[in-house]
Amino acid sequence: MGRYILRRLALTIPLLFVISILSFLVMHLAPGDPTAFFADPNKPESSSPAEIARLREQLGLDDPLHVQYAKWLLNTVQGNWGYSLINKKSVAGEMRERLPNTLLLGGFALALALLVSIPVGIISAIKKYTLFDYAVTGLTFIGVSMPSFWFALLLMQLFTNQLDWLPAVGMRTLREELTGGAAVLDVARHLILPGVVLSMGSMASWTRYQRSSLLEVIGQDYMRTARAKGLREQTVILRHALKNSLIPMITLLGMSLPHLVSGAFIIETVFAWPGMGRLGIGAIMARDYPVVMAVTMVASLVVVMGNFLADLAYAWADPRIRYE
Amino acid sequence: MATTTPLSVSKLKSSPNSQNQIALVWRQFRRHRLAVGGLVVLCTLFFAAIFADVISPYDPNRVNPQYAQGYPKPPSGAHWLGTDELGRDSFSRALAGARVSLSVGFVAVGISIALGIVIGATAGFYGGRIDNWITRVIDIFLSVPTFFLILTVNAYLPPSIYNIMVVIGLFGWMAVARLVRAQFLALKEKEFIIAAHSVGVPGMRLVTRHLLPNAFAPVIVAATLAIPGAILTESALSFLGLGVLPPQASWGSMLENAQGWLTTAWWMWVPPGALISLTVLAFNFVGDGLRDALDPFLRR
Repeated sequence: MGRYILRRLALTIPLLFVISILSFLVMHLAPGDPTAFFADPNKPESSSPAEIARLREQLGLDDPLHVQYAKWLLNTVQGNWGYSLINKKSVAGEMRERLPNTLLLGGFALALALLVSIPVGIISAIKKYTLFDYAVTGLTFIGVSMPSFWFALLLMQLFTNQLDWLPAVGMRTLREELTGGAAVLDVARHLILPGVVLSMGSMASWTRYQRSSLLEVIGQDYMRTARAKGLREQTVILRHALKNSLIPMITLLGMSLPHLVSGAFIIETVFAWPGMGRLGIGAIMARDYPVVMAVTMVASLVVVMGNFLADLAYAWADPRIRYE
Repeated sequence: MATTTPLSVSKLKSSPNSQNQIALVWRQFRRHRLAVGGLVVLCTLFFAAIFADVISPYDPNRVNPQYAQGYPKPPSGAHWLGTDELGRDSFSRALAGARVSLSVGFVAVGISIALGIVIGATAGFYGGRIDNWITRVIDIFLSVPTFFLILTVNAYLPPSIYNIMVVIGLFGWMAVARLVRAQFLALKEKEFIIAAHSVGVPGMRLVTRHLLPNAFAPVIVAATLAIPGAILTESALSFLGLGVLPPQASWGSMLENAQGWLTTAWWMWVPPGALISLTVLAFNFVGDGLRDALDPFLRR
């Protein structure tokens, strides 16, 4: 197992390396120029050719591409992530501030999706072709089909504008100094709507997978054996079927991470959640290279590490997997 | 028995046989009621998208400030889905949006499929080291948050619907490539492929006449199920303001525009979102129906 972990880990480093080259190329080969952002329409001299040349020089945009990349890579591995071109803040500092918020939102959504989808999927499979099963199947189809941002608008309109139960924007109530438990509760209230929206897609698809995974296990020969030796139905389902049906869910969990991360970009923007996704969207709009690169790399790291952990968990849970 | 030539092998699968197969698939597909419902919805949407110019009561981009006076106007006999704050007819804009969504869905997935087939077929046919490298590339693309890269590329390209189609297509080929690769690897072990190979059928012909047709069914299903993903991506891009170029209408951009009128004008944001959901749902149902109909092992 130790060697498997090391080997698997050794594969992720070149992976991140290639991802960084890919995103670097995308950003630097595409037309559009960050210097345009500094042009002040009221000061014509700020967009003069001389001024633009000075800015390009200062930002290192005139170096050949591979030199720019090498510089970026050296700085990044040394922990020097540079400064935002727009607000001149340190990218690493900004990331330290934003990433925990995204992890909070993503973690909450992940937990919610798991806590709902696994039990519902199990019940749906056991009570196959009942009203409950049909209702669940219908809901999961709707959950997969609705665009998350539209679902967000629906919930905002219902729970914020009409019922006035939950806040819809931000992470904390502004102009209120809350401390201790009240502050935690305030964040929790702000977390509910974006968290539910972010979890919707995963919740719906995991429910379907859990249902079909359990149904598949129930059809296996060893289930018939378990019943034939006189075990109670409850024991058969809980002890024999359930555990085996959860194994494919581990892979699914790892594979859903990119979706969850992508979802966070949209949902943080809709709900003005001060996370990495909103930072990234803002940086893309402003062509803020250092921030976009940092967001891409951190998001990829989260996904790659998630897949790594899912693979480990899979190898641990399924003794049929030989790790050599 | 005479030796089988490649010619007679290909004669075996002549047209009456394949027509039979289509009838068989259709008979199977018809049993799936939701899939038939989805197909009806999609046909209606196609019809509406193709004849949008004829059906639209108004030019979707024509503003009418005298009518709207800065506020969205509710649905009426003249404007079935109301107008936005500029007085543009929402029904006409929704029709234009159907055109955008469906064409993005089909073209983007077409690009993905073409790429996926070529890449997956190369990996599966050659195997060995080439397969190893391609699998690694697929893994890389699967672990990048592709939506963010699509956003980034789109932000740097001049905004246009064609760029969106190409970019979504370029980042969506991985699933098909994996599928085709797996099919090829499995088919290569089958007797009929070994037989064809041993009588000297050249590689290219082996791929196009024997391997690809047999890998076709799962690719069709994957394509049908990938279209809603492309449609959702386009609407998300347009919703974030990185999609179609204003004033062009897309369901996503209509929703973006409606955000400011959430409480006051439901007709601005309910229909576009419902249309996206309905379209995606219909494609999902049709895809499910096709999967059941095309899988010979499920047939009773």
